Amino acid sequence: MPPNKKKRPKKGKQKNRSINLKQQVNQFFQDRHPILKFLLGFIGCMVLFYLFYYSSLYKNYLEVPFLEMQARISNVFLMLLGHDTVVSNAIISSNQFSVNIKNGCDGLEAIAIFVSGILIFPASMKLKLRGILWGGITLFILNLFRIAGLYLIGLYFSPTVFEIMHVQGGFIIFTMISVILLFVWINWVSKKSQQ
Amino acid sequence: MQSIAKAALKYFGFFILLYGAMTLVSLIPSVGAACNTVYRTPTESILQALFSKAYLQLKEVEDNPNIIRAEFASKEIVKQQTEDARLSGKTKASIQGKDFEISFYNLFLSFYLFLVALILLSPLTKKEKAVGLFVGMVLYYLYTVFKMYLALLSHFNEPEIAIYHTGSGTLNVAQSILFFMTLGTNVLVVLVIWAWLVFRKNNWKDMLISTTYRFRNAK
Repeated sequence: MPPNKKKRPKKGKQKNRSINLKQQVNQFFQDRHPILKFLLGFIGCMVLFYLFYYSSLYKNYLEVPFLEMQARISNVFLMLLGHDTVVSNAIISSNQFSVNIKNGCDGLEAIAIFVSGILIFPASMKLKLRGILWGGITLFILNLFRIAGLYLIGLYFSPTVFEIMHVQGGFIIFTMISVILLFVWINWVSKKSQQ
Repeated sequence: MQSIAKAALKYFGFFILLYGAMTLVSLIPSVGAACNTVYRTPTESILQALFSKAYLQLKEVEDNPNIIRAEFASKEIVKQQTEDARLSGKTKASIQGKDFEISFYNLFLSFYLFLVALILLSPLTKKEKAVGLFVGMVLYYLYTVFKMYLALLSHFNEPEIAIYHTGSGTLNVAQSILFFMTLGTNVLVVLVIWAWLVFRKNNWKDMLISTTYRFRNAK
């Protein structure tokens, strides 16, 4: 029965392979168990943020004043640089170019990512509050520079460059800043707890 | 704190360089068009399978690799118009299709490059990076296909198109999910995929430290 003799080890190998694969998958999830827990908490916080961000409370009462405030402060930066710009509602404009600050350009999503990470991370409330305060203020100020920068890019470069900087610079790079700030905070907290 | 901040700034600098370089390369029309084609081909087949009542084609707009144009028509209407043409002795039927455009960069490419930069800059072995890039691409791709599916489903239910007549409850859920799937959510999905693929029980503390310190220590 030579064929059977040949088949047996093959079956054994296949069985071993499937066991290995199963073990690898189990190992993958076991290795990531605390991370998954952290991510679920993080996603939960972000869901709460989005529910608030798109709620009628925020839309009707908070969004417009918040965007207007950002437009006014960003305009101060532009005026300090010598630009003759004016603000009307949430629009910064001059004779040559204008930017309309809308929902999504306010930097709140990046701030929410930073704050959610801090809230879920196991640390004392005092350290969390300090992180939220410093990080939140830093991100808020950076977003004002971003808005002013977008006006300048729109003024001096083509609409294509503006669009790229709007999405890449706006969402991706700005979010990356909030992630790095979160890492800096976690490192700082770890050092503090070691001390 | 100063040393952490300095290392973080360095990490950010490397991220900007890598992500900026990849973005610039992706903006070369031939590269963008190739990425667009690679994305469209499987997506078209998946969406055609999901929307059996519609003739659906995903096309590239000439000289603009950023755009994917979804052209569609109801199979029922096409059949009816073909039949009408045949009965009136015409050899060809003129069928009016509809279309809508999707920004390929905002949907997929920019955010996938973000994921690539994150994984490449993570302190992992080459094999782990390769696995992360592949699994990450599949997961993010499926997310974008789901987003396109919801957008098309919503579109196909509009009264003037009416290829599908989905129940109002299901349609409301689909439209609500779609409403939340913004550019901000794309970034969030990328971050979650990255963290899930890269961080582990035994490495996450080291990972955080090495992410902010690696370039300083590499010297």
